[in-house]
Amino acid sequence: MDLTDHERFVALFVRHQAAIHSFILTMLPSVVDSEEVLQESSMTMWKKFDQFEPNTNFRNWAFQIARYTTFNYVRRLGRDRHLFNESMMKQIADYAEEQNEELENRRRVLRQCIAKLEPRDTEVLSNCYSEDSTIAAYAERVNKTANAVTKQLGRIRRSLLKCVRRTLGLEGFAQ
Amino acid sequence: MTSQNDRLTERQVLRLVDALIDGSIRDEDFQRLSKAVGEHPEVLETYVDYLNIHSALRQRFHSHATAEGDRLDIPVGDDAARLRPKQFSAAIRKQWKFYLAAIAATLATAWAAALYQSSPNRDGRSILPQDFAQRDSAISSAVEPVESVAVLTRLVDVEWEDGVKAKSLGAPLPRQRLKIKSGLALVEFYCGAAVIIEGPAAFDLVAPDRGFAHYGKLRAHVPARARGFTIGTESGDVVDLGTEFGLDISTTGQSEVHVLDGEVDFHDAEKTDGAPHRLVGGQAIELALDGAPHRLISSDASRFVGHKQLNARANEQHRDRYQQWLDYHTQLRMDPTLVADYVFDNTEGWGRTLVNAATSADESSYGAIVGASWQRGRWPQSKALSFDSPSDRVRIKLDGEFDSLTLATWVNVAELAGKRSVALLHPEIDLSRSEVDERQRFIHWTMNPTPSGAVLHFAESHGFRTLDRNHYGSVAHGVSNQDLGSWIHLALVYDSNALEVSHYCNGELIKSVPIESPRILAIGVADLCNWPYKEWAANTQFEFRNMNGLMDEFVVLGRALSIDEIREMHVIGQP
Repeated sequence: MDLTDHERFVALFVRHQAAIHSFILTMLPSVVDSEEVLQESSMTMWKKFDQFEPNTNFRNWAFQIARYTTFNYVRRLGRDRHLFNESMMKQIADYAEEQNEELENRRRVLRQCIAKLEPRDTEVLSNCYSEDSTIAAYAERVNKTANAVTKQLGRIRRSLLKCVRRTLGLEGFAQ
Repeated sequence: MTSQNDRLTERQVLRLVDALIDGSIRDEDFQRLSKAVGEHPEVLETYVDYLNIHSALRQRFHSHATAEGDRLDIPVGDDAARLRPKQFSAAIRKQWKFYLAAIAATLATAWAAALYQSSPNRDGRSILPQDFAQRDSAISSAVEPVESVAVLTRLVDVEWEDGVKAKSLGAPLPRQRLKIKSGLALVEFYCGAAVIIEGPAAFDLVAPDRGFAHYGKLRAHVPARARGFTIGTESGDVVDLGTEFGLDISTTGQSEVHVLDGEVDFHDAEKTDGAPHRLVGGQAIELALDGAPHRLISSDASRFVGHKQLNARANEQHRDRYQQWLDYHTQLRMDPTLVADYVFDNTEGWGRTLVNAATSADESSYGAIVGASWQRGRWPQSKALSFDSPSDRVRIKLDGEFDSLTLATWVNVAELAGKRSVALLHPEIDLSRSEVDERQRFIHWTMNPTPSGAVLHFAESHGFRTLDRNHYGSVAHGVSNQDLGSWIHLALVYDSNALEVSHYCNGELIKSVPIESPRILAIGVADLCNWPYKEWAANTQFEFRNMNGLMDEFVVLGRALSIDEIREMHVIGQP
């Protein structure tokens, strides 16, 4: 095979990117910060790629790097924010790692659920999750308050959670 | 310890996580949530589940750049690993571009630049990653999100204005301007209003309940539930209060509103304060541009093509096209290299046999229909098989060995999501038999779903266990989600002389992949639109490969068809 390491790495990274991002976001529930960490992690992964043993599980390896990159990142952030402490992050990470295949499965089911959404809900998602827009900017465009859009967004997200669970025959915990 | 009374309900947990996500959570609520996540496994589970969705939504919607992309797709999952080196680096470049646009808009690290520059750009221009990322986000912010507002349900002799991409029947239509040189198009808005547009016309699809007419004639039918449907014009808005009206706007801007039935409110653009003109059935209004008073006249339904005339003209056109297609197949059947031309119209008797009309074919090559049911085909006169349940299929057996091969089909795919692979033609490989012949040959022709559609994939294998298999993917191009619900023509050509495998969609060459060393191909026992399910696949991502949708043509030729021949097949077969 005449693939370069670059190519091999990018292919592996792109394939597992969604899983790695989800993993980081559970520990550090901020989109901006988690993407910062994702980027830092990807660079560390690339620098250490010669230590990755081919034919072993890339995702497990990547998770270890993402885990420590997140810990370090959170240490650098001020304490004045809502951040989980290290033992909480570890607990969450252990669980998310153990469940990673199931979570991937749910992301797959989620795609079908997204496809079933009303067009206006999809529009809210694509505006609020886009990197080119913010909730506030979108709210202004559609003449709503940011608070109203945030509520709408939460409702759509919860309906997607429900749809994923329904599709998989799962239930939430008792109300 | 938290007492039972302090326990958060799931609803409360989700509200708290929502507040955490949007940054509005209060200190004491964050402490409460954090504690619950740490102490109660079910809260941890819900929390992770929900953040997983949050992450996936960000991945899915962070960039609009690819949403509008024309047959542009990102291979995901194992697609990348299955590609051969040359395609592989092309795929990586594509993915890399995506990655840059997606998460590294500000990425300017040396390694990234080195990586990106190490492979020449597709169009040969040298663009640094930062530029590329910026360019992409510039594009994406200029592009409105692609939301369909209507669907195109009839086209009669339509000639599109130059420079406008032809749209196919059944295609969902995002916000856009439709420019028609001549012919008739029926557009059904999602609110339920139906509009017949008569070319020459320029008409904007604005929202599920709103259009804008620049010029041309149109007739709108508005059922009660779509009341309020509005068509804007330069002179003002026409708001329907139920049933039917016509609009005639000349290119100079003079226009007439004819109420054919029911009531319409005309909101004059010049007089924003006054009450709208209420027009009732039989009335029409002539709108002067120069501010002169509008003139009330009587409406004339005969000036606007109605649904009856439209249907009559559509049927006429269908008859002609159907006949043309039949003639083409009569001709095709004389081709000595024709291996199979399955006839999708056998509803007599049991109606479970798919006859192979190739001159050389005998009954052993006839298909056995399993599960699939008969539906209307591309024309009112023709039939199609509808594949709905995961067990529906047509089992075929085609003998022979081929140096070169062409596979071509017309399908109307209902859904692509949720599967790794959707079979068009999939071989039978019986692993349970101990004497699996390692010299046996197989071919696979599939659509491999990606977030915005599917890439087309062809593989040929010699023996199963040895996995001596060559893959030829259409990499980054293929079927788009926009194609779902409309008839599309797919073709695959394995050309051992030109040494390339070509994927076609709707008569267009979408990808040619070089063949390193050509091999003899064989089909044998195989399924159309499904795969011979195997126990080992139970509960895995491989379990379902059935196509969800319609098929009404499947042709196999033991030679490589030229680009022109494929194009002809598409042009003639277009409904």
